[in-house]
Amino acid sequence: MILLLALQLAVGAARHYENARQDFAQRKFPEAVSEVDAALHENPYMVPALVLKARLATFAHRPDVAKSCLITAVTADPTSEEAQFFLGVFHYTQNDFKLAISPLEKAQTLSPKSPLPVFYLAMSQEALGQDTKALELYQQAEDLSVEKSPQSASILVAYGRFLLMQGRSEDSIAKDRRAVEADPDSRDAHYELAKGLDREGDFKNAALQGERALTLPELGTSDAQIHFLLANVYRRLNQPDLAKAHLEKFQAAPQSTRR
Amino acid sequence: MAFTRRSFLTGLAALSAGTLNSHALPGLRTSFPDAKAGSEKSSGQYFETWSAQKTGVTWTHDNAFSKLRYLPESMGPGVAIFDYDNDGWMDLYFVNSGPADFFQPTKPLRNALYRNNRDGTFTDVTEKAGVAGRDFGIGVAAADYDRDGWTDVLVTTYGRLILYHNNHDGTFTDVTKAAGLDEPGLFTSAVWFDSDNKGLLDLFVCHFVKYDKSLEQDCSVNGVHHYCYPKTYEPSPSRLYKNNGDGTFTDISASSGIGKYIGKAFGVVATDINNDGLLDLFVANDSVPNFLFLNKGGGKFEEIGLAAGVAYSADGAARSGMGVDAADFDGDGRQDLLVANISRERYSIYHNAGHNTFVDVAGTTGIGMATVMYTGWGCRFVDFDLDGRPDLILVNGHPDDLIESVNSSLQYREPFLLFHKNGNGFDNVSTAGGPAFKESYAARGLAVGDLDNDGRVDVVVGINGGAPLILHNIVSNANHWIGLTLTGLTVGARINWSANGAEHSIFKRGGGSYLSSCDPRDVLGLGPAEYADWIQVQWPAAIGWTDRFERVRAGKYYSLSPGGKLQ
Repeated sequence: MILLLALQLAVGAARHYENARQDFAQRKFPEAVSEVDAALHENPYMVPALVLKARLATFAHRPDVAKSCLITAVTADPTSEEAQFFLGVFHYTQNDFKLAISPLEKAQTLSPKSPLPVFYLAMSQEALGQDTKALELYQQAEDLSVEKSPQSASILVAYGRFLLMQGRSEDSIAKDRRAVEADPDSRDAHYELAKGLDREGDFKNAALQGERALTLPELGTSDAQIHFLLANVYRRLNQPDLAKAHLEKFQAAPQSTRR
Repeated sequence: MAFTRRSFLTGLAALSAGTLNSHALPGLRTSFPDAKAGSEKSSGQYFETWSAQKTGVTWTHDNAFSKLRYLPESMGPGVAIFDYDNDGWMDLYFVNSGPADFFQPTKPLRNALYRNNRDGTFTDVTEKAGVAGRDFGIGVAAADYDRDGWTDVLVTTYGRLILYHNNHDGTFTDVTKAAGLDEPGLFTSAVWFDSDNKGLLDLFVCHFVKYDKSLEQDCSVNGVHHYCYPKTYEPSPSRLYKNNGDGTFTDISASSGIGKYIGKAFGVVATDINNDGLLDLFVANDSVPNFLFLNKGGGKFEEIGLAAGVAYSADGAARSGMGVDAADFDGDGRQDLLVANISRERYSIYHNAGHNTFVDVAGTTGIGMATVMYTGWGCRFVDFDLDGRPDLILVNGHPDDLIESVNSSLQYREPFLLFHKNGNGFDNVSTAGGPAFKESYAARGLAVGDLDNDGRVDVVVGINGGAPLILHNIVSNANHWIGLTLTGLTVGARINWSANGAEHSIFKRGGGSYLSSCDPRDVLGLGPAEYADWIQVQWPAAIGWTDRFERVRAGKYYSLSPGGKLQ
């Protein structure tokens, strides 16, 4: 009887989790929350459900809930690559880069062929000022991400941006061009390419890439960033009207700071 | 910024549950390689720390710390190195907190003036000198504003400015009201410079934000008060005061064009970015764009920070600028700029590309990655090893004393950084800095100067809520030096010299660093040469005179007036 009850609970939890997963994929977040809560009610240590709940909590600006779920998940199953990865990503997004390193390294060990743990390790090391380590990790992430895809484009964009910050603009441009090839609709890729071209003095093509970026959906790079870049590029191209127009749009946009 | 938290979250939205592979997740080198300079390799460390026991400098900064964490608590202190009694030895001045609307000290607090005893010790002469302050002091700028040959002192505070006139007898008189400088505000750094080439030192004072106790915000995290980020407060314009030449000043903020730019100014340096003989102002703002005020002549300034490329980061984000400095670090004849920012922003080191434009070369110089985790305040380009090229010192510390409770990657107390100028950029030589560079501090003000007249430039650092640090330069190499004390109007002078055929240059900027004031003398590094082939001093435009001297022997300080002889 007890065994039967346990089986029913397990099946129920799995069913609720599967529903939650589908709702999440379809961006039906309230429904996903209900289903994942139901799954965890029946199996509080169901790791995939804990991870999913953490991600939903992140959307809901509840980092406390997300952190709790992820710590429970890695405690319940330290060999869960997914839980370790998302715990690392959680710390990364909280700007807590030192804490991000350990779970990301565990995720990398558990899934050595996945580029994402390495990619986030690279970004974490970069944020910690460890440029040699970051460079090595970015290269590893690129090597592991062989297929042209939006994901590989994202890795190349971050790699290119890191190189640009190091003053290696030619290398940066090469990465950004490959990112554009991998995902022609990546606003980030066109924007970073424009920055590299601007740094190299190729203002005409920088303007083209910047204008292209503006036509793409705003995900990471904001309109304000692109207007700022274009204002500078058009000023260098001695096109004051366009420079002024972009400057006004930049100044009208909410100003961003890290603080 | 391709990978902000927002982009990550957006990426998460596109992920299907349970998979990682879906769409949109996003030595030290103490080498001196310039053969032309022919300088000697430095051995050992750069600095030893002179203890309070050794120096007698027992004053400590009280940051007025409270659990409610009022903004001014986190800002000071400034320090000054100057010769108040004209004995040829540099004295020390430290600024302290004091009574304010949010703070009533349980014991009297005061600023401190220490006379240099010429033997590595100092004597507290504050009370006799009459410069105790007893306001909520923040910064200091020392200069001879009235051309009487004696250095006067301006103290910036939360509340007001204080101008101490030097009475030539070891005492000072507070002449603030008579000078027309008695204005309220939250003042930070200040710089004395000749704004209109009329031969008088005018005064620019950074004003931070509109502030009094009633404007303080609650920036609690989990019920615990943190210091608020500056974006919480309203910006405010800085001030420019014209020296009338009779001991009084006139506020020309409005007529000069400076007053219409509201910022959150922490640091300022006066330099000449376009070599037109007019001193420009570079102002570091916190959380709003930096200002570069181009001097148009006739007391007018034009703000060109955006067009010059120094207002924002490459991504159009205003950064949190604190300390600033200017020097021609790459030897191309144009003054470059430095801004110390907050953690994760990297400090900015701007190469002057000509035509009033700058390029941030933090990446290629190595300064960017070396500073990504730090928050910088005091900073100075100065030649510590006498090879004729400017090295760079940076002192750091996060403004939030509770930062570690919300971010384990950051620290409240941070180490100092020391960079040695090499042929193309800078080598991080912090590990050779000495014992102080192995510790971490809540550092703020920094001033450099030669405290023992040995030609090696020392460093004094103000610590928020602690005792100051005095770093004695003990670089051991065979390099030689010439000290130069220019008299009269000196900010804006250009000193060129040659040693063993290698030419070098120093432009005498005004201000720089953070809240602090440096030794007004200059030390010319000669490398191994025992003589300077020649020295040329191009005095500021208001004087319009150039002096040149051939074959000058190393190893001593010379004094020079326009048209005079080296003495």
